[in-house]
Amino acid sequence: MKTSGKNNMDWILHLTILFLLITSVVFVYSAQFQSINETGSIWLKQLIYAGIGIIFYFVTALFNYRKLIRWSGWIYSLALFLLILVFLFPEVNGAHRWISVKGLTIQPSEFSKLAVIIMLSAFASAPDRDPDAKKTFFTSLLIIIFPLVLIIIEPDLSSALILLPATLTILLYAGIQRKLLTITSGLLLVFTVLICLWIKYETPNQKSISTSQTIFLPEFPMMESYQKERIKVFLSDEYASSDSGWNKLQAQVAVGSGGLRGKGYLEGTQNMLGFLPRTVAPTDFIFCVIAEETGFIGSLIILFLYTILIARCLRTSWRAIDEFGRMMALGLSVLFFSHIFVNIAMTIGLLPITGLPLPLMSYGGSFIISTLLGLGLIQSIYQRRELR
Amino acid sequence: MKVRHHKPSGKIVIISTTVTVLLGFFILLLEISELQVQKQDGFERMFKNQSVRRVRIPAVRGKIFDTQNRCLADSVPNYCIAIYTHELRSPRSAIANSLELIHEIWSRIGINPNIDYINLKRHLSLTPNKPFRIYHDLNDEQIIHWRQQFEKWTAPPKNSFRRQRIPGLKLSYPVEDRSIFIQTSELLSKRTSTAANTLELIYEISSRTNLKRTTTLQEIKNHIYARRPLPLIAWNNLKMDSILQWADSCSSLRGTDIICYPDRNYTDGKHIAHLLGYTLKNQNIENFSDIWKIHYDVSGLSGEKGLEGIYNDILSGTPGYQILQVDAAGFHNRELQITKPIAGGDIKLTIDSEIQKICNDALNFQQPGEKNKIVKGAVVILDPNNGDVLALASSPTFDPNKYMKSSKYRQEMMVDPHSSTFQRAVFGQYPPGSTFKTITSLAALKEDEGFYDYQYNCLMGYKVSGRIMRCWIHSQGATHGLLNLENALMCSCNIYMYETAQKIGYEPIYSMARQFGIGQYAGLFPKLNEQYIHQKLKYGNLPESANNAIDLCNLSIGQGQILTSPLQMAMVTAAIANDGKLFRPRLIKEFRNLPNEKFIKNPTYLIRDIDIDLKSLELVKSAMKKVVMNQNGTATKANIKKIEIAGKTGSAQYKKKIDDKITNHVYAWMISFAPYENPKYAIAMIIEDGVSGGQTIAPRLSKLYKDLFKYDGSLGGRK
Repeated sequence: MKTSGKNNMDWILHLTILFLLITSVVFVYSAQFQSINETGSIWLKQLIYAGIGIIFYFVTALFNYRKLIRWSGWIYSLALFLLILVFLFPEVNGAHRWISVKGLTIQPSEFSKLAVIIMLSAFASAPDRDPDAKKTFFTSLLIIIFPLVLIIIEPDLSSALILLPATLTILLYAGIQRKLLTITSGLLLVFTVLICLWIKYETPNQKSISTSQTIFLPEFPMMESYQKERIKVFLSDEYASSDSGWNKLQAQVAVGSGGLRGKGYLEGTQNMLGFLPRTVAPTDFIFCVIAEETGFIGSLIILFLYTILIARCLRTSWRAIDEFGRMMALGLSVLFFSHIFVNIAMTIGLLPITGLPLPLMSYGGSFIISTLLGLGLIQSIYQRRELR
Repeated sequence: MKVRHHKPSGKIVIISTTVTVLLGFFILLLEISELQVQKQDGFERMFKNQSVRRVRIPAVRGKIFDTQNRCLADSVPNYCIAIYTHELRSPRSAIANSLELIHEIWSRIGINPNIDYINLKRHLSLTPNKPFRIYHDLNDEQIIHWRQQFEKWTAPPKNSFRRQRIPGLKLSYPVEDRSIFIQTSELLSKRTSTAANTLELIYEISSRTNLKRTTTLQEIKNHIYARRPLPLIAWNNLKMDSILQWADSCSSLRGTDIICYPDRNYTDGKHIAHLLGYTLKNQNIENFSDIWKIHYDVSGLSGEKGLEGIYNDILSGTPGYQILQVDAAGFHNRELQITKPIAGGDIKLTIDSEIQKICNDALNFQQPGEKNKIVKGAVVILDPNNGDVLALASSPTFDPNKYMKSSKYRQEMMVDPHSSTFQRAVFGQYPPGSTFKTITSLAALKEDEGFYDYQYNCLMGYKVSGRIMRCWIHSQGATHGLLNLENALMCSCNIYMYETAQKIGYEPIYSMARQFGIGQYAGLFPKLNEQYIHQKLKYGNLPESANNAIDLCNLSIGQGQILTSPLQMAMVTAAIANDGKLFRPRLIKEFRNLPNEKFIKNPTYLIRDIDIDLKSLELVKSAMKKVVMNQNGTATKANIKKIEIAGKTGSAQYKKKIDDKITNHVYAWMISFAPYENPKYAIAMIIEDGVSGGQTIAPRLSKLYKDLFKYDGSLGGRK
């Protein structure tokens, strides 16, 4: 067994990422396109973000990831610090999610996802760790819970919940007490179902959808009404007149009306006429724009590219030389996959509307850079893989 | 090696993660293929339903010409200033906000603030932080009214105790110093509604072109609510100088343009109003099916009455369709497709509009003792040689141009005591009176040749079934004495006719009247694009049998249950004049279904040759000549020099009950044809509430003939 040199990067991953980024810029342009005179300018920003992201990607790829084991504590603390710092900045759209200094706006929750995975992997892969000890389990739980709670109270529920599958996979891999893990996951699941049921049968306020049931529970605390609205829209078959119901319907109409071959580039009328809300078309609903304009064939290509991306990540995990690398690559793969799955599933009506972006595709600097940082780590792990 | 080997269970986790990932992507793939491939049509339709709108655009209506190719009903351009509301969504303007607020206050207080637009603009650019006064010196009543309205306006919403604030108005001081102020400083950064922007643009155009603003804020709001993708018409029926002014000063403004819609103009207006009818804005939107739903209709015209209504299919043309794409807010985004309308076909009438005017003049030719009475009557002129309708005039008449434009005028016309919109010439039903004696005479001569020299004495006290029947002359204390048939017709003796009727019975008179078309459909408005079908509809009234001798006698002098229209009596006259040929009255000379096509001729149609001897016809005709030309005739006043005229008067009495008082009235009739040799005109004229045929109609007929012969050159006129 020997470690490879630096010229052994994963070219398929390079190409996949490049292709996805080009697609992203092209369709962010289309998402904002109104007419030749009104093209919008965010595609240019997206291009710049992608460029910066690629630099970060290569820098990270060249960097030896094993140094992170030592640094993980610092990275984790920095992430927590930024997540607390968020609350000192003014609210935007009713949430403390962004830190903006002199026009530069970053979203710490995106980076903290990476930090949690690094920290957890470093913690669980430490050679002296006893996976069967209860202490290990509870410490891991604490590592996850601190940022999770901070993100939830921003509030950004979906960004927080998206961490769970990734961390769960890492813990499973690490072989941490299965019994405790199962009980915790089971409790979490039961809890979620209960909350959903409560929300479905709570006393409707004026704006919410009309339901025919007669038993009403008191209003569910702790959640914003828009979040509950989204869950209600998802749980009921009728399309609500509320905003989230409208978005769900319009997203489905956009994807559905694309048909087999699509309406053609810059011809996506759902988006151009503003049925897909213009504010979210380039971000959370970018897949709708692509599906509408390129049709089923385009969707198929995008899905194929994402499958390759995740497959390469998992392959890296399989072939990494150490536990830390394996865990990190596994955690990142699951993180990316959950983003992709939840985002696409939401645009086609399988899951409730959430604010989760599509990796390497949605407009947004922090997310694209953090994704590319993660992928840089994957490359870094891949370079130092076991050679057969 | 420092790194610990992973346990076998770790590999299982990676493998199962890979499987999960692949499964996840597979689920997404299945779901997307279901949406995009299987359910595509449904979503496609949903997409179109929400973003595609069909607008019907009207075709240019066909024209109606008279026989000399004068245009009677013309399509004229209606130039409008249109406002494209979708281009007025973005700007934020304090002027628009202020105007909107002022209009809101205006609609509540109900007093015109006489906004000085220039002044308001100046105020907003120079001293926007000072309040702007819109009303001053209000009296107590107005202040109380305004306070009440203001209370209502700012009333707290449900579940709240706090009154609503209206930006620009002080909540606590709606009135200060007997004036109402608006706080323009609060309006500077307020979001501007599309309606407000539209209002500002209208004011701007108004100030630049000196056109008076007519559109209210409510109308703008209604338009944006109901007809959002269409342009708002702010002014219509523009004159040329307004258009030029607009082009000079406003063409650089955003969101406004001049557009043109077809409109209708009736050149001869009142003279032929009843026959042509009128058009009104098309109210009903036809939906062909769900997919071909029409969402909006741009002020198309549809024919409502008269020829416009009957031949609407030919005249209206095929409307065009514009398919618009609208955005999520429902505003116009772009035009997807346009199907141009096809203009309607034209109709050429046999009517001569000059003769029509002559008829109207003759009807309104005041007689001494009539004292500017509104004349209720009708004239029909037919060409006896082929049944062409030369004029169809009814009085009183109305102005179709005004009728189309003013709903107030329409309402007036609906309750008009003189029924001005009623076409008496065709649809009026009157007892024919003594004019019917021509038919009685012809029936008698056909039944019994003895009537050629049968004489009877017109005596007072002629009894039928024990009831005394009178002749009209008896009321003057005289009798006609001994008469033959010709003289009886000339003097219009009733007793002679009673006697004749008693002798020949009901059936011969009935069948003769039927042969002349009485009681039958005249066929004035045939369906042009179909083959003629002989219509057996009942028209007017001709009872099939008499109940008793009195009914029989009444029929013989054209009274009782018999009812005819002026058109039918004109047909009778024409048939007598041309020796027994009964033509269908032909109103439409030529028509075409599309403009630029060749005209298709509408043929003349001979209904029947009436089965009578020429000899008997000669007798009746010469008697009719004597009615006018002989000094003992009843219509000597109709006489004009140089040209021989034949005619027959009639005065049908009827009783009318007004305020429990029964009064006697007379339908004054006259039928006439001229010249006696080779007749060119067959005329029937009636006036309700006349004195008698000889007194009321004959002088009018004389004027009519004079003008008519002057017009056609027989008296050395134009031709």
